[in-house]
Amino acid sequence: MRGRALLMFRLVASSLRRRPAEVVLTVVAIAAATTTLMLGLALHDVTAHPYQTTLALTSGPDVAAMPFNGASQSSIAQLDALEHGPGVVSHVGPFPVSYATMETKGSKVLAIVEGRGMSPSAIDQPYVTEGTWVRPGGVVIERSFAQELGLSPGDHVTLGGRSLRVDGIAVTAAAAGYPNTVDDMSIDNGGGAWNQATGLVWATQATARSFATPSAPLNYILELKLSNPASASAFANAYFNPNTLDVWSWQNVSQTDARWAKPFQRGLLIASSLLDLLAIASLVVIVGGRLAERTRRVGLLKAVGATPRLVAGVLLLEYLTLALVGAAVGLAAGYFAAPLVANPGAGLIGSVGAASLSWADVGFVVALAVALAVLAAWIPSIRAAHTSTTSALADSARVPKRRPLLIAAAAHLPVPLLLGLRLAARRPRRMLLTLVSVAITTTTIVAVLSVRTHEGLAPSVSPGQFSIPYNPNTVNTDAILLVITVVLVLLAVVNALVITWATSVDSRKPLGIARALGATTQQLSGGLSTALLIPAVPGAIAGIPLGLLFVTAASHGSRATPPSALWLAGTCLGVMAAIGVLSAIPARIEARRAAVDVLESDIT
Amino acid sequence: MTTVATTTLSARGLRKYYGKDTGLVRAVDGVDLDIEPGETVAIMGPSGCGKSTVLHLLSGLDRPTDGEVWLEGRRVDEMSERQLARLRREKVGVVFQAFHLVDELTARENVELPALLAGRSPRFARRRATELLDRVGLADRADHVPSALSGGERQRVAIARAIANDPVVVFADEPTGNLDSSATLEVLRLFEDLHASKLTIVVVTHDERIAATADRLISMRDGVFVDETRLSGGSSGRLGALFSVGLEA
Repeated sequence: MRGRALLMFRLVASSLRRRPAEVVLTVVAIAAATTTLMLGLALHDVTAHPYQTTLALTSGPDVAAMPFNGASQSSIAQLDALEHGPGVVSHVGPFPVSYATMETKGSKVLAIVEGRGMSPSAIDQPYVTEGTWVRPGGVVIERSFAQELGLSPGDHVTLGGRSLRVDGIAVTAAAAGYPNTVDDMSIDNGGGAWNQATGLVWATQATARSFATPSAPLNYILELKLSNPASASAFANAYFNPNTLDVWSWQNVSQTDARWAKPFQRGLLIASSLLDLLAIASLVVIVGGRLAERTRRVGLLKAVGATPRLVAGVLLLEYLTLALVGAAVGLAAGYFAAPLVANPGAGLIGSVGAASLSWADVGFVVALAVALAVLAAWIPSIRAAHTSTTSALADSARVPKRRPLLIAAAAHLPVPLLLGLRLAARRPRRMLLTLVSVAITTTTIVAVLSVRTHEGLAPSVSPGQFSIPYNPNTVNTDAILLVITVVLVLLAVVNALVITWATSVDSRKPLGIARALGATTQQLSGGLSTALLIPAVPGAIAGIPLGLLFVTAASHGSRATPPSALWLAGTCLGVMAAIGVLSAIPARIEARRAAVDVLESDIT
Repeated sequence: MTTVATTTLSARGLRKYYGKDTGLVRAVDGVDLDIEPGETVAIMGPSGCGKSTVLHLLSGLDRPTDGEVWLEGRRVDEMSERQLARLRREKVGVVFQAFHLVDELTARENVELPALLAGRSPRFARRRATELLDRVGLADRADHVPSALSGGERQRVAIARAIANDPVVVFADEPTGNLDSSATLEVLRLFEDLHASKLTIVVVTHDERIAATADRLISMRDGVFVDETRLSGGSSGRLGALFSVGLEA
């Protein structure tokens, strides 16, 4: 038994040593697939846990309410009615709320100023992460807002024309963090200036009241605890009045905080599916490219007494080794990249990142890698079991397809096109695979470009009136896109290399013959490039609408912003140029070898 | 001594080494050769003596480590890859032991290939291929792919392809090495035909019947020419007898 295991180990080790390039490409393909899958899984419920932590830490309200049009008698009466609503066990407020422009460190923004007592509140006591709670003459800035403005305790801000000291930085579960605060604390001062560049500030009640003006009158916020927090949404919906009263639940705030992640979580999962397809396509090409060699090796092993089971075991072990190494690399890459893409933002306490990767996720990723390995070993194993030893030893690659019409048509073309068309025609399945791979690559590039284009659009705010700090959502998006782009580029290069390598290996014999008959290096390299470009061109063209469709699907149809026609054309041409350049390399390398070496090497 | 200017093909001090230090292999170690126009030269020797390597060096399929190769007064060993390609296209035809036909092309399409690579029109290439396949007795097999042809038929297609562009020299590397007796005779007939048409031929073989068809027989051992015999009767005298032997067998 030990001898057999040792034999298997030696066979696997020698096989892997003999094919370093194939080993590296296989590992990279599997690692890239598992990395993106890991990241997709890491973004599940990306902000759910931090929100819950913040809710508990701040005794966050189950429901909060604010009149839309300031503190009129009727709206105050509405808030009174809420205090006695069904299931309400306690409440705080109403706290005064006013609106003011805030200037600091070269930025001019809008602030919602919530008036609070200096003693802790039973409900929604913001958790101070730096400095102290509100004191006369000072303000406490919501953490994500403070982070965008670069504020810390001790700094000064000019709020409504008055210079105030920053006493502390705090987080709350009652409203979403910057720049989404305004989504929950819906306000309308009549001027239409409220926009996403609005953050939350706490001050003493007297200070908050002092900012009220006729054009931006004082408002109030009431916060409630319910006997059944799960019913908060239903409660809020029951009391919400689009004309007079805004009522929102903790679920609304949680969803707002998580909102930035959703399209990208969805997008990343779809992107990872695309990249997985790309990885599978690479693996199919790698495995298919060496199928004949594999079968001969099987014949050799059987000739010296190996059973089909042992042969299948060796093949499986070989691919399993590669799969596990690839999965380990992918898991490590995903583990370290996850916090980058899954940052919950400064508006919440706690972190997700690597912690959100469960053992089930890891198991799923490893299972995917193993499935790829089994798939890769399956076909040679089946052939091993069903092929006689002598047939396996003599096995050559499948006889290429004969396409009489294409062959005849190619005779009328210049030599590079003649060679390219005939090469393409002899392996239609590989050409289809190339087409699909290039289409997926282009799809993903277009998708990334689309998201970048969308995120690059400026927020809708009156120019010159307010200066907008950078948008943290974009920062997170950028991180995700960066990871996708890196993985995509890596996998696209691997894929292009694999396709080029497989096609050049397969084309070595006909190109060797053509060389012996007098074809020049330029004609041969032109032929190989043409053979790859024939499927690459429709693949790249098809990838453009598919990429746009992908972004639309990933963003619920609301966030697709197509890149300019120039970018799309550039992408298409870039992909084709990359394939063309890469395919010229093998022909150049072959040209350095003697014609007879190319012709008489073991090529089938 | 004959000068390179008057011969079709010449070699001077031809060497081809592989590896280095203790692993150095002297596949060809100082070969001189002059071949007159229309002459058929057979190179014989045991396996591994370097005869195929000599043929590859002479035909421009490989580059020598040292020495010179001249074809029609032009130095082959110093040619660029582009010049070599042109040489292979216009001056040289090669017949391989393993045939090296393109699997998915029919016999006719394989024979058309050199003309198409030389930029000839498809119509010309087709006409020429048809004519050559007729000449090698395969007119009725022209539309068959190599896998549907016998070994002898494949080699005849390869010979037709080798002469498609009217080369100056045809090089044949063990042309009957993969063939049975009757297929060997078919190929012998063709070489006789080529010899009669005054084509210069260099054939590497360890088949004495093929060697007997030559004007000159060179024996090779350990990378060097060790003996040279001018065959008085040339090919035609002995070939008849060989056919008899083959047919009787």
